[in-house]
Amino acid sequence: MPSPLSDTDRQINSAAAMDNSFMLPLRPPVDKRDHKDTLPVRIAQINTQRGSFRNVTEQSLQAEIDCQKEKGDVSDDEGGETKPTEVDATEHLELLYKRRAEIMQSAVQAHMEATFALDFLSLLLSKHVPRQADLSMSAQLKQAIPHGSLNAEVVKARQSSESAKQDTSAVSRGWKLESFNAAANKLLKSAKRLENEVSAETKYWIEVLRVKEKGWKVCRLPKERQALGVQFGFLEATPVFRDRGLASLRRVDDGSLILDRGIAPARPRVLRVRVKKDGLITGCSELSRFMAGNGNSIEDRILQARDTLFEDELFHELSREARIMGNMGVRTRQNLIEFEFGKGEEVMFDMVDLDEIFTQVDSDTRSYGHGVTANAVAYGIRILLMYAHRQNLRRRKQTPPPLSPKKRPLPEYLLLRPVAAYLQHNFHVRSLDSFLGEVYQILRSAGLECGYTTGTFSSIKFAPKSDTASTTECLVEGFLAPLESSFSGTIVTTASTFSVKIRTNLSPPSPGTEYEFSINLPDFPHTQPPSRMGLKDEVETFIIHLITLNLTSSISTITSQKSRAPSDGSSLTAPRPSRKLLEWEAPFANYGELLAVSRISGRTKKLSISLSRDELTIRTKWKSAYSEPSKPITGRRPEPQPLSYTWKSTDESGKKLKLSDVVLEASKDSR
Amino acid sequence: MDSQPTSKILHNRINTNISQLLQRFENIMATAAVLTIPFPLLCKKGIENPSYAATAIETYQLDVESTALIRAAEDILSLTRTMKETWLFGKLDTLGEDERDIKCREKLEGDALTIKKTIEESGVWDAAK
Repeated sequence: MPSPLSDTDRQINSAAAMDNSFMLPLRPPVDKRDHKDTLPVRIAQINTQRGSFRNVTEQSLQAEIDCQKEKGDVSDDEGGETKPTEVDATEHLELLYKRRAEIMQSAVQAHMEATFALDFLSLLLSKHVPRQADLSMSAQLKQAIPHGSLNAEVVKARQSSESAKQDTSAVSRGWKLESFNAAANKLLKSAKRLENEVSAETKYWIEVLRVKEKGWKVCRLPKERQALGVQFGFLEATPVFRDRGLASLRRVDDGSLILDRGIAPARPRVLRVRVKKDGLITGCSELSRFMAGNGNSIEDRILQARDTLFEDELFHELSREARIMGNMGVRTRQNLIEFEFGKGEEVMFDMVDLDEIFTQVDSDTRSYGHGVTANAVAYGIRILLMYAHRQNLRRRKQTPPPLSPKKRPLPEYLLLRPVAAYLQHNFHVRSLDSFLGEVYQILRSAGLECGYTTGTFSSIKFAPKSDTASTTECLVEGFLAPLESSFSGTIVTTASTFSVKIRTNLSPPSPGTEYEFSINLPDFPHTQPPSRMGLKDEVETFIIHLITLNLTSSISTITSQKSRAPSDGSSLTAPRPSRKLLEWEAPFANYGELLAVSRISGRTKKLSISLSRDELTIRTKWKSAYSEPSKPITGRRPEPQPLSYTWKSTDESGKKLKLSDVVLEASKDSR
Repeated sequence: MDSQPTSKILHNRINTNISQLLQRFENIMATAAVLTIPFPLLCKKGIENPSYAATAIETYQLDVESTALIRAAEDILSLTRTMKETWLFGKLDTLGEDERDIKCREKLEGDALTIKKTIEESGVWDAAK
């Protein structure tokens, strides 16, 4: 308290002195004390005048001194000492250290004095409040002096003079007013602040409640106990993605929510499926279905975050599976997975950014027929991923296997394999179907009665709903087994039949499509189909071969029948019953060739059958008896032209001659 | 605080805070009242502060009381937040399903059944023959 007193004292006195117009001052002149103020006083002065010592720099002091010098003030003794320009650099440093040591000493001294004061007071209090005094007494004092050895009594206060009393009361009144003002201000300010806080909190909680009502799981964050977070990820995903599914709801100053996703706020990306045929993109999946809109509400942001996380996980699992499917022709790059499933048809998976999602170029979406496929594949892999999640949940619910030091890796989800299997199977089935359809069309237009039946995808069985598996799971499970389809048909004669079973496996030991044949040809009992055919072309060749075999045998039976029974139904034969018919034999049935020896001329006639997907052709040719073409054959009747007849698949039924007629025509014997 | 506070603790806290608010305010008024006591007798006498020390003490006390008042109010605010969180998390049932999940699941089952029937009837695939 000494400094305010001395300040005010000096001020009042100087004011009084100036107002007084007496020649002789009544009050003793105030002279500056000879000794400077003690260091504590000066420190306190500097503190009050300039804030703290931090604000006192050499430059500021020097500036002040210069100002004073300019004003022509009375000599300041201290000015000379602290002129830094006269002092050398090293001496300056030493001076600094010296002063610092002095300051430290004063501080230590002050600390000691304060400790003494504390001890004194606690000793005093130890009489009245022993327990509290104990807390504040230092250990030394406790040992040295017993409790309660100091006492204090109230002594009648010395009456201070009136002016002093007035002084005191005036100053204290001023203080009190000031402190009341300060308290009132503080209270008002904090009231306003608290009001803002309350409104912000209300807004925050309204939003949080709204989020919770939509069904999202709101929880406390494990790291920060004060913040709330929302869980939008999938609990069954791999741990990487499960942890990324937690975001904290933070409050901005005015109360609105921010979704804080942590380190990886990825841009929204969607997995895109494209179908390519011969280098041209013919189909593309719809992307906007899988990503929530771009709205600003917290709900939209959560949905978008969840969708992005799902798509990321999808691509991650797909590439994981594609890596083990390398032997089946799946190629992976950093952002692309592609595989081929048919003749020149490819499926590509890649990730696409948000901007492209909503402004999809129209030329891509105008599908050239494969848009449906692309969409179906896109939906399919997502459903399969959710099914894999359910499998994870089921596996977690079961009792765990016995502990072993080997860590069991998680098997890759079945995402790409079922899709690839289905597409491949479909491709094979449809191509075989169309092939058989065309061939049988040709045969029917040639008048042969034959037909075939199909049983496509006959292996898909849906297990009924049980306790452990819901309907959706049964539905999906039906597609995860190896796919099978079967075809069976009659070849030319009803006695000979064949049946093909196509099976597509998803995984080793034999991934891919296989064809299994079983045939029943009574005319060629020793013909066996090759086992395990896998290529579509081989199968087609084999079927043609079968049919050719059967045709040869049937042709030979036609003529033998006709020649054996000329009496019945002879309207078909030529009106000259005297002409004999050739009898065909098939020594080279495998090549589709029949030979007949003419009884009249002794020459051999060759009949060859060629069957392909587009047409069936029968050609006949007389083989010359002598193999000397150079020898002129004179005197003979001109040879009849070689006969050739074709049935095409585009022929309308009924327009062309039947096979039997053509054969009969060809079997006419002639010289 | 992981354990949810019991209702007894919360009640105590509420009571403490309210009483604190009132008490502090009363103290502030008491400090002010030293200066202006409404009794007419004492007014004449003009009780004044005997020393600066007493005034300083009263100033300090005023400061302390007002700060404590603010603190009590903030404590009530944090109390409401705790209560909100407790109420929010009391309704969480992480493993079981609430009506929303049940509805979703039933809708899913219905859709799956429809699809299954469509596949079996349409004959596009001769499934389950």
